Formats: sequence, C-alpha cells, structure tokens
Amino acid sequence: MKNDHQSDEETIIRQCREGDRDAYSLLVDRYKTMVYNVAYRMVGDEDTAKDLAQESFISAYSGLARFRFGSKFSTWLYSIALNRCRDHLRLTKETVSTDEITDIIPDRGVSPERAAATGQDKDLLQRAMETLPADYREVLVLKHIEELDYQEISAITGTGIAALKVRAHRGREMLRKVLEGSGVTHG
Amino acid sequence: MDNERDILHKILDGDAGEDEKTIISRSMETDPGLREEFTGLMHTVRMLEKSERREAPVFFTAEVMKKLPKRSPSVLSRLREFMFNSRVLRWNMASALAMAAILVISLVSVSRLHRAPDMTVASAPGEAATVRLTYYSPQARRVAVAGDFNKWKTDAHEMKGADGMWSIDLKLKPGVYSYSFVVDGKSWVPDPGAEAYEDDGFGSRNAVMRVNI
Repeated sequence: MKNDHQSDEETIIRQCREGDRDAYSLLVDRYKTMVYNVAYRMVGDEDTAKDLAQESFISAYSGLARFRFGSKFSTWLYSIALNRCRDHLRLTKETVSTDEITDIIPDRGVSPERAAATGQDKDLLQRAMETLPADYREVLVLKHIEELDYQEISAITGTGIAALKVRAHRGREMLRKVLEGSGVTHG
Repeated sequence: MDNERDILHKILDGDAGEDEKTIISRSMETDPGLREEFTGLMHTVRMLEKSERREAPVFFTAEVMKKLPKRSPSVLSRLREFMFNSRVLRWNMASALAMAAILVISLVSVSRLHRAPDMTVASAPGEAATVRLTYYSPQARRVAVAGDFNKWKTDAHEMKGADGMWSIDLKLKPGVYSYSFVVDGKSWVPDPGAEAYEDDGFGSRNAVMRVNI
C-alpha cells in the first residue's frame, strides 16, 4: 500500500518525466544527505563521494523512465549510488569477491595506520571500514548506519538475505578485529 | 563455539529467540573469551550506529541541477500545454482569410474521405522499438554498449558523448535483453539505472531490459 510520501514522490517523478526539470530538485534535496553519506562511507573521500553522489542523481534522472511506480524511490536511488561506488572502486583498485573468503583476514591493501597517514581528518571508524572488502562494507553501511532491514538491502543489492547475513557476520568480525588492533577498547 | 558465534550475530541482527539468548548468557558466564567477543561486537555495532552523519556539501543540489541533461517535454505534456494553457490570439484580415481557406479545404477533404475505401494501418509483426540508453561518465573517453542484441561486440554500438553524458538509440524487437556498457574499451559497467540485473557468469553483473512495443 502506498503512503502519502510515496504518492508525493510519484507525482514529482511524473512531473520530471514530462520535462519539468525543476521538480527534480525536490528529490535531490530530500535524498542528497542519504546518498552522499553512503558514498562517503563506501569510498572514504569527501570529494569523490560528492562526485559519485552527484553522478548518481544525474543517472537517476536520465533513467527516470525506467523507474517502476510502486517501488520506493530511495531503494532505487541507493541501488544506483552503490553501483556507482562499486564501479569507482573497481576502476581504482582491484577487489576480490568475498563470498569465497573463509578466513577472517583484514584486507592487506590499506592498513589503518597507512590510511591514517594519508587522511588525518578521517575518523577511526572510517579508516577501519576502508580495510574491509567492498561488499562487506556495503552491507554494514546499509544495515547499521542506514538502519535498513535485510529485505530492503536485498532489494537494493540484488543479493539474497542469507548471503547478506553471512557478509554482515564476517564484516562485523573483521571490523571488530581491526578496531581492537587500532587500540579501540570496549568502553 | 561456531554455533554460539552464529547466535551472537543473530542477536546483533535482532533475529535471536529468547531460548538462544538464554543459551548465550549461560555460555558467557563460563566462557570469558565469548563474553569478550560479544562485548567487542556490540561495541563495533554501536560505533556504526552512532557514526557521524555528514551533511551534503553546500550547493550540492544547485550543482546537480546545472549538470542535468536537457530533456525535451513529452508529447503528452506538449499537447496538454497546447490545449489548456491560456494564450492571447492576435488576428488581422490576412490571417482571418488564411484560416477561412484552411477551414474550407478541411471540409472538402473530410467529405472526400467519407467516399474513400476503408484503410487499416497495422504495425508489422516483429516491429522494432527505439530504446534510448544513457550513461553519465565525465571521465570516460569512449563508451559502447554490448549485449546479446549485438553478440556482445564491444565496437558495434558506440555511444555519443556530450558533457559527460553518453547516449545511444537502439532499434530492438520486443524481448528481454542483457547488456553492459564498455568504458574505454576495457571496463564493463552494468547500467546503473537498469530495471534489473543478472549474474554474467564471470563474477560480475549485466543489466537487463525488457522492450515492449
């Protein structure tokens, strides 16, 4: 069943589809913080996050004709933003599929110390997050920072709920070890 | 131990039942290692949940709006505007005569049309539809689209780029097609705005589109 918020968004999307560009600014304003934060947590750099977030909104605008009414605009937007982030991470460094990883070993590419040396203003959590493989980071961001349920995360990522729970499990274990290794105590 | 660890994560996911919580709290009383692990995981999750939410940069919306591609209004909205928007009509004798001439010609044409044999215009079976694909990538130097409609050739359908926005119009028969963008001839990128995706069998994904007439 649609709520008022969803109906309001559908009206805006219909206006955009009919050529009213200005109506789109309402959607950008509504979701800019959400998209920017997800991008920042995924790539760990403010300028890159801004570029990826803006490109996500532009992609969404270009693809509005393909948006399915009845589904949530935010789910679709999350999906576009995460695709952008994955593409960026794939082009900037090699990533491996983590479904085959059985041992809990932090990524050796970026250590918290090295990350700290290159970005002193970053918070400790973000530095630790950057040591995780992208698909572990993705599920932790959506589950524990964006506070979405697994059903919605599954709709966003196209991954089954069981596989998402395995990633969350491994990601949390890995993150705990990295944080404890960086001297974080359980206060 | 592995079973207990699974239960710890079920608790963190909010999926654990009361009996499972009881098992864990009993195990933690006798196992300091498990207790420490649970405390560490709880602390990790709490750090994530309480992490700072950053505001989007100033002028974010204005910058997005400036970069949006120009979209021509749909036929429906142009028709609606033509029909219902108020307008001022100015006329003079010449335009009144021209209008009268058009009216007369129209009436003659309509009366002839009534005498003409019936004509049915049908779309040919298997008619192709035009599908526009767009991809925004200011960094790309060239972008092509490859899919099962062109046997995954990376040079068959090059997209046109303007200000970072790449686009192509494809003539496709009705059906379901898998495709991907090929950036600079080497990077395969699934369409971020696709309606569906499927596993490509090589550890990545392809976009999927349905074409209807």
